[in-house]
Amino acid sequence: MKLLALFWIFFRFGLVSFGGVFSVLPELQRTLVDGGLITAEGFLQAFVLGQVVPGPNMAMCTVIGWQVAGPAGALVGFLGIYSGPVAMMGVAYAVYHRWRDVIWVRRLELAMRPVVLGLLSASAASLMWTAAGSQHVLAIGVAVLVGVVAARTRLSALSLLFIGALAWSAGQLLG
Amino acid sequence: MSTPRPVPSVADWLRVNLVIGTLSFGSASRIVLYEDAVVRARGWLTDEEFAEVLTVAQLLPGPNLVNLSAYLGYRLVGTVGALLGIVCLCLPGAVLAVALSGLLAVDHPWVQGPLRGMAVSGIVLLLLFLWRKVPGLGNTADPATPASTRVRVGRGVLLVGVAGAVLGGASLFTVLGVAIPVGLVLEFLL
Repeated sequence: MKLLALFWIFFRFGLVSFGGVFSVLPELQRTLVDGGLITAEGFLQAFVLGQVVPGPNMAMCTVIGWQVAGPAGALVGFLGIYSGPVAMMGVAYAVYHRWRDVIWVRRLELAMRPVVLGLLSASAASLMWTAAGSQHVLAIGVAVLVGVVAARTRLSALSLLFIGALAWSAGQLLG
Repeated sequence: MSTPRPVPSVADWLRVNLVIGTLSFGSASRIVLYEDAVVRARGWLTDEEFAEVLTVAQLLPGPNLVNLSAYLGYRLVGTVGALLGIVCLCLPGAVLAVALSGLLAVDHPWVQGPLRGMAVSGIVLLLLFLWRKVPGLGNTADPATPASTRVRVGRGVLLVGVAGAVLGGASLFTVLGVAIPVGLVLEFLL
């Protein structure tokens, strides 16, 4: 029963994940953490893992499934989050082949852009709040440092994640 | 009169997806990797076709990379090949993430501290991505014509409104129910 509920959560979020899973993070966190399925720390771990591994960052949903219900949960997380979008692309393929008009699709995409960027902004802010915990100064310091390094160098995303990890550890040492 | 274009076998298709699903560490450039693999290296699609499919992939819900792979899979190798391609693309990362999750779950300051540092870095990457995308709000479907000031301001207000509503605790589904029609009005009626 728990697995069915979990599948329904991921399936629903998959269907509205415009721009990817990162646009639905605040609501996903609310549903899972306030619903008592995982902890805020667990959510943060899944977010980090989704960014570290190769392939789509929706891998975080497989991790969340694992945290909730072990191997079966992981399978449910994997199938639940991908099934909606993949099915919709199938429908889109069937339909778009018949009425193909690029301008029209491009205009729809333009119409959705501010919505997606707004959702992603909210995700960034809400996740920053979770990540900082009680250490606001340290969090802001690490964010500024990583931002400057990212702007000045061409380091890969993975290197930047490790710089963030080192910076936070250094901050902990300094007190 | 066009020269015959190479058509992938299911095995070719799965190999491409598996390579990207396994080796694309560092999130920034996966779409480019995909484009290199299917357009430039193998010629399964033209640049224009790829751009067109990418627009569809960006429009619909789901990660762009997965949507792209699904659409191209349906088109190039049929439904079964498409679904297997998705598994090849998504499963390696998902399995690796689960395998690593035990390491991050250790409740010790020297694990949880660096973890928070990584989360903050990830958020900074997300912010930089947003920063690069914001100028795109001034575009129209015709690359030569910028959007009118009215439309730009409208889109900016919509972005801030969506972010504010979600942070203020409004349900995602309500926000989308209001914001999508507003976005459509801005694009098609103003």
